[in-house]
Amino acid sequence: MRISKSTIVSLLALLAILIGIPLALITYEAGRTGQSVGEYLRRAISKTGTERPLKATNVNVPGEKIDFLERISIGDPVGDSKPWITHLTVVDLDQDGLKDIVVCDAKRNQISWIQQDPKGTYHEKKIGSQVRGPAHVTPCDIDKDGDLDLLIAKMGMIFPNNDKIGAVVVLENNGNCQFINHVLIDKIARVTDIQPGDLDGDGDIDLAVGQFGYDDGEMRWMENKGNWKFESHPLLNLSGTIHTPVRDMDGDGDLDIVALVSQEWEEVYVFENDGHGQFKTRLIYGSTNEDFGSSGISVVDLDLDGDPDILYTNGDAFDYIPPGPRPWHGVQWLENKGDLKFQYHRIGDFPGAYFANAVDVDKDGDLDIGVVSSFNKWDDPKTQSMIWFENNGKMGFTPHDLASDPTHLLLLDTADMDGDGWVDFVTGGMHAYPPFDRMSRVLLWRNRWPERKVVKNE
Amino acid sequence: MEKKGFLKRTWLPSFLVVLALFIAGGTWFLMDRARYNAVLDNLPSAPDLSGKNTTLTQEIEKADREIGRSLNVGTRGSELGRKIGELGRLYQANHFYDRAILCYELATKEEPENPRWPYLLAFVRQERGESESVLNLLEKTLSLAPDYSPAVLRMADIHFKNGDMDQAKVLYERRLKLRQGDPHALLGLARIAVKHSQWKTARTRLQESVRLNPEFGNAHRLLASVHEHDGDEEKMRDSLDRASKCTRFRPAADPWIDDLNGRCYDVDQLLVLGSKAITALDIEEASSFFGRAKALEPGNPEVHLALGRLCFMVGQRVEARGFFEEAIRLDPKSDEAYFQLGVILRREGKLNEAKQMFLRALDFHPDNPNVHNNLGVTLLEQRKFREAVEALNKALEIYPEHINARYNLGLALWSLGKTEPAVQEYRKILSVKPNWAIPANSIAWILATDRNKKLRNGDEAVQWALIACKNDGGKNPEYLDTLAAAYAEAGRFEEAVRTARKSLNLARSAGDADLAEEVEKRLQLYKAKKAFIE
Repeated sequence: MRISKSTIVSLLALLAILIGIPLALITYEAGRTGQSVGEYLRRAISKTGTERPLKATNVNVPGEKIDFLERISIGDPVGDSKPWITHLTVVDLDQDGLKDIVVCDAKRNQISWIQQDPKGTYHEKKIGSQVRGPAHVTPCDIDKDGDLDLLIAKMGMIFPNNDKIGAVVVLENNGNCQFINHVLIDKIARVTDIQPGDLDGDGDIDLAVGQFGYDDGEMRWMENKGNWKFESHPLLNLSGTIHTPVRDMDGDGDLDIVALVSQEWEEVYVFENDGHGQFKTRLIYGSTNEDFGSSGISVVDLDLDGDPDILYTNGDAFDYIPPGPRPWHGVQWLENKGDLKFQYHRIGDFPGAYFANAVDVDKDGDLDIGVVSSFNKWDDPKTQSMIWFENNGKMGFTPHDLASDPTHLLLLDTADMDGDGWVDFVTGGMHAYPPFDRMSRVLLWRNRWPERKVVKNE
Repeated sequence: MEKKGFLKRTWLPSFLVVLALFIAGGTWFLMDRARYNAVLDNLPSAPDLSGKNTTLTQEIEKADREIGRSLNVGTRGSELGRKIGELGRLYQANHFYDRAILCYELATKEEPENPRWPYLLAFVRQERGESESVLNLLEKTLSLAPDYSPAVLRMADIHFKNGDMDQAKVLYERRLKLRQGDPHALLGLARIAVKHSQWKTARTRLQESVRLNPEFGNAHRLLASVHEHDGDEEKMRDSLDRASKCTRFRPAADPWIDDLNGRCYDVDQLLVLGSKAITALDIEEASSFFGRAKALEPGNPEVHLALGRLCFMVGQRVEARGFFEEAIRLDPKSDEAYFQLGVILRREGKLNEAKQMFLRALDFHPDNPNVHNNLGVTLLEQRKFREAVEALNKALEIYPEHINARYNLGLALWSLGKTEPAVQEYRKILSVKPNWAIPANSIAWILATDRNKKLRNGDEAVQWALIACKNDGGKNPEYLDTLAAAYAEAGRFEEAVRTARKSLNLARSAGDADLAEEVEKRLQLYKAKKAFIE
């Protein structure tokens, strides 16, 4: 039997159609479902199974635990009380070349100084007279006499209260680290943060003041008129301001004010300074989740591109009973894109995330992020209270466990406390709700990265 | 021969038909397998449910199994998408957000015509603080359900918070067309107007908002700012006062989101939902959440505490007492349950029992100022004034800004005849809260009527008494009685007589015979141009 040429051509054409149509269908379907043809075919011929590993969505896959911190309790012991450390900051207060820590203790209603003297030995001492509900301390030579004074944000009461019980207090240093309290303004909505800076360009130090209040809060800046006199200028009439860092955000040479407003607003503002204390209000970010739980911001050049970005945690959960973690709690950064435009980037989830600090933990040249949690599932002993996000150098972050004990960590500051060239962590505990079995006041976590051990994840 | 010829002629077409059928069938089979495996690959595994209640575990397993069954019988497309979306809702409602996201992404692919899936996906992402990807999803939602006004509001809010005021304005106005008088949209428009210094527009929007929704505190608060800008201090105070009487902020109703609460089987989350409902004074909803929590975990003392607090709040003391007693039975170290039970017993006049409960609460939590304050009040009611002062001082030692404890301390000191220190306490309170009627009335009474002539100050007494009356709408016979006494001490007898008569009438119409009798006696004194001294 002879098959004609035309029959062969027809057959080949038919075969091409028979194979081509399915191939085209497969290619189309692969493209439609966002897969490569190879991936699609692999799925088509692979054995069906029931194992369905959870893929990460916008959550980082945890990295292995790297054990590199040595925990040391410093300052007064926990004792019988349940510590309420509401703020702490690392500073060389006596300017002796050794880093100290200044602490707001809302249980004792007292500011105290954990002095490092000699190197590696820490003693805690009360400074100034009592301040009710101290929420924040900022060292600053406000009177420009060469020593460090302390700006104290007085809430009056740490828990919700709409009364005018806040104050702006300065602990003036007499040069020998003896401190005298000056009340610059009182009977105002609860004050949560005071940050210094020459806001009107007249050479003295003015103040950016955040007032949480409760239902009624506000924000103001206080113009230094000399001789401990200050004139208030309102900036914002919303409740819930937590932090008010001062920085030149737009690179125009004057200081702007950044403000984190929590409560139902959950917004971040920049008050753009014209250099003479006239501010234009710019809303740069806001969450539409009214229970977002904004808990802290810090201004830092996180991507090391020369402009300041905003590192931002949301993990507050005291609005409703029972206080506890929420699935949206975590850490993010607002990338400064210039012209006061900022782009939101999620770094990762961390229930109860209360404060984050950017620091090059492993000295690889990029900024990693240490974070503490104040609201987590503390009944589970494995629940983390401190983690760090390792930066891969491209602003990709991998979380690593640091600690589960103690619980209820509200604060984190970082500095090379022992002068070994590695940045250490300092944490503060706020134990306002149970359990009370793993408490701490102030802890120093020495960075021993060169002696690190990798712990396999369970 | 003929048959052979036929076969010869037809084998090729037959073969081709069979081949075509085989290829079509094979292709269909492979594509179905690919789709099946793609769903399986992207469908999240069940979470670790150890320690979770059985209902939650069962519900998740049921929904998961149902999807597996559907896949096995070849269900694809919308029906499969709906089932996967339902599993996503279950995950979202119980705070397994990663899994909810994966489910919604799959559901959106399988059932692209359903607007819920992109909307719920948007919601989960938005809860985490994202906005750009959320806007795309909301746009998709609105292309499928153009009249779903919560999506419009959500988009408007995101644009507002991103600083895109023009787009936000357009969307808030669209929301208003869909939901006339919506307070959230009006608030958004007012905030935009304030941002652009369009104070008149802001005022109009806010006035409309509070007219239509007098309970919307945020509008009152922003209106206060507008009045402040206008320099109208009285209106500002009035708006702030109204705001203080409103419930805390409550997000706009959103049926697709609110509906998720019915799928929540996590007791902690149900307690939070109940707590949110209480904040919004939605007692029925709170009761429903707590009731479901109790059904899921009847042995959880926190649930009984929550129910007890709720019952007490609505005046159901007997039920509240039962819940607190059960909480103590389940957790004998629950200081909160002892405290709450003590409060109920005190209200019932069982002062000794109440005192025991407060002392028990202090055994487990000795630095709770509220317990010390309530113990102080109980002792006050028992007329054990010295012990009351001790307890109240303890409360203030822990929390000096506890103004209720300070007021009670003033009362205890006054009861001990220590009127001067009592006045000092009241002054401290009023320096922080100058419009609080109760201490204003108390200080006015002492300043008007105290035996110690040096302490009396008629003019100041009148000032405080007026504040007390103003804050109570001038209809409290007791406060008017104080005001009358203050007028008399200030030598303003005509006003004293007039005010005392008003007090007398109000006391009589309220059926308060004792007060009426007292006021009547004082009225005679004022008529005789004499002040009343205690």
